Amino acid sequence: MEGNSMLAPLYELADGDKVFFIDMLQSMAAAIPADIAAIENAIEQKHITLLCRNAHHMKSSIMYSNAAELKALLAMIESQNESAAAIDEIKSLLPKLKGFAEVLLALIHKELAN
Amino acid sequence: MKCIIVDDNEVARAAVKHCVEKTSFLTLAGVYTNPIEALKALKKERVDLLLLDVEMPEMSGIDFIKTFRDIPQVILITSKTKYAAEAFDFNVTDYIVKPVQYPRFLKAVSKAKDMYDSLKQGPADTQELFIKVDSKLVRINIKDITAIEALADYVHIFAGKERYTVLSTMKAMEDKLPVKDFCRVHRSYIVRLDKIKEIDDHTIVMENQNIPVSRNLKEQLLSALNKL
Repeated sequence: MEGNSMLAPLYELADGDKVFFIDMLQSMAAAIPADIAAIENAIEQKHITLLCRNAHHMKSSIMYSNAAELKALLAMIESQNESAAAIDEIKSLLPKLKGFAEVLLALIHKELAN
Repeated sequence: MKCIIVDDNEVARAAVKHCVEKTSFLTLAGVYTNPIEALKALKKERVDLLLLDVEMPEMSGIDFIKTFRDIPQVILITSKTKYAAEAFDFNVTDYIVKPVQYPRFLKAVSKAKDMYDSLKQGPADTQELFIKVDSKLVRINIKDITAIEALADYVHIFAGKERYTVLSTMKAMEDKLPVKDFCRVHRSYIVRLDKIKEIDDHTIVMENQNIPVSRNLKEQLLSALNKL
């Protein structure tokens, strides 16, 4: 298997096991939109604890990618656990978050199609 | 070594499961999405190793460890290093930072396996046990011990034709006896495996006594026996 450097950690883990690699891509492809929806829902509810938890969950869903900007954004959101006032700021970052996630998702779908 | 995985994230669970399946000395006994489910399962079946996420919504991995009195080995798996110091206060075997990669995973589980093997062998060269009976210390040969029975704050030690009553706990007795030779079969009983004559449903038939087997511990007993 050769691959995109964005998915290098997953290639390393799979170590040539194509079935596992595809299973993981499918899991990620399912998890990312669900995680984004959960984050949006927490923002709508203005529930900062839930928002941080959901950001943490998404961080785990993308950990086998090298999506550095997305990871950094999620880490920033996750660290806001004491600040309900941060909700509006995070809400303004949502389009950016979705944009990074879409780039990663497109790459995952491209890999799955190959 | 029997292990379980506890992680609330599907991608993380799949990655750790993949690593377990690559490791010949590990047997996966269960995969759980939250600690509550895992606790229920652990009441039914003893495992040797927990592969445990730290940050989970229902209960953190560290709080999960705190619920155990007799904890199996634990390898914590987390995306943050900030819990490491606290984790080692609970004697965890190792601490892996996500994303887990196989070489690091193998290093951690090999450490757990070494500890497991040394516990299995029991204290090296220890063939006798000194017990306090009244005002005397009495030496008994571990090979002569057939069973231990809990009795409130005391235990009965059955050795040959003798029965000794000693101020101790079942946990302390388990720690003193070689794991490969003895098995906890009931909240109140430990038996020596090579002294078992028969197992009839939930009763162990020994030379001089019958011992009950609890429903929860029967599987553990059966897995410790060499059977066809």
